[in-house]
Amino acid sequence: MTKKSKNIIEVSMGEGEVALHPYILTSAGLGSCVVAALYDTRRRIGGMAHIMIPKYSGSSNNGRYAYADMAIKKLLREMQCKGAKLPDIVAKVAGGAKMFSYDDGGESIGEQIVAGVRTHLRKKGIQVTGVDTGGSRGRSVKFYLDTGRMVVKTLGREDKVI
Amino acid sequence: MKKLKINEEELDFLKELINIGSGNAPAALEQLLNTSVVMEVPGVRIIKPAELSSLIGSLDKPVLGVKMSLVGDIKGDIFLIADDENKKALKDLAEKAAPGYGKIEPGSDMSAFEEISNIIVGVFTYSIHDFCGLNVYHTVQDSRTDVLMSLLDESIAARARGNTEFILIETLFQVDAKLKRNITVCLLLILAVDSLEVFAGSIKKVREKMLA
Repeated sequence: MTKKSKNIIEVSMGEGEVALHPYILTSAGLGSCVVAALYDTRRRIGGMAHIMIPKYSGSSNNGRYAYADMAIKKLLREMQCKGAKLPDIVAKVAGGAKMFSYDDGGESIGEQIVAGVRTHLRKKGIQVTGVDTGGSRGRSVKFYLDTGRMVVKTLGREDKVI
Repeated sequence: MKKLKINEEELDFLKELINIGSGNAPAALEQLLNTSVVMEVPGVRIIKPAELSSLIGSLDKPVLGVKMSLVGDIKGDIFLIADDENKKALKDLAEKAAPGYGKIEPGSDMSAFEEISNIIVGVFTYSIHDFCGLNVYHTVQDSRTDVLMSLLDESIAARARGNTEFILIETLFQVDAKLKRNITVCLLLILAVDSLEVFAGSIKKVREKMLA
């Protein structure tokens, strides 16, 4: 469930939200999950998806925001419904850590989601202006729709602004 | 998406199995922590991530997570979670038992926590193994301290394919007979989608057999 309090909207796992300035979109406890945030720099319209799975596999109770291959499309469409224009949209991406070892070889879930998100952003011609991905620490993010800055909090590290 | 089809009575039955299966665990913990230990599993239930805050406080605060994977007839991950207060209590006990044993700084020896996890998760796997006839083992431990959901989300994606329901096994210790100090940790079981039916089916089967 997405909680709204004052100007803050919490975007939970598998969810997405689109809002306008002066809202702040937040997501806490990102491990392998990735947030993809889009921002219309002229109209100050922003959207953020909390993506948990690299690819949609056909049957699921999760919404489209849960999947890297569907989230960008849906986020973009929702933003355009609110008046955003594609040429003015930039993106920020955070998350995709590998918290524990899983003996399945190959790319981690986080790496696959980040790669999927970047592929779909590239397809839409959206420039990525900030990235904080990978590593082995969890992240929490705040995406400020007044300026489009994203503040990334990581345990044991100074806040990073992307 | 497949969901775990298990009712309240069956969860209660699982709780009883784990309580019976805890057998030698308190003795092993007593030896490890050098104090008296009474162990109890007061509840087993299905829980969603948002409900976890009622157990561990703010979801923004770091917790200790020790992850082990289940292999054999059922697959998945099982996490031992301890919030800051309970982590500190365990750390103090471990330090008291053997100085240096309770170190938890990143990169340092977390053997006390890993051994405690080994004993507690062992109770669960032995119970399932012995009572339900499932051939289940757990892998070695992997520990992190971080925000809870960041510890769980890869398992939710990789094992449960996005299903965000867990089986929560609350585990309570009363340590030190004089002080009667309570320490609570949680076991969170995230089953692989393919194992949901096997797990629920085996609990149903053994319960029906015992009730017959």
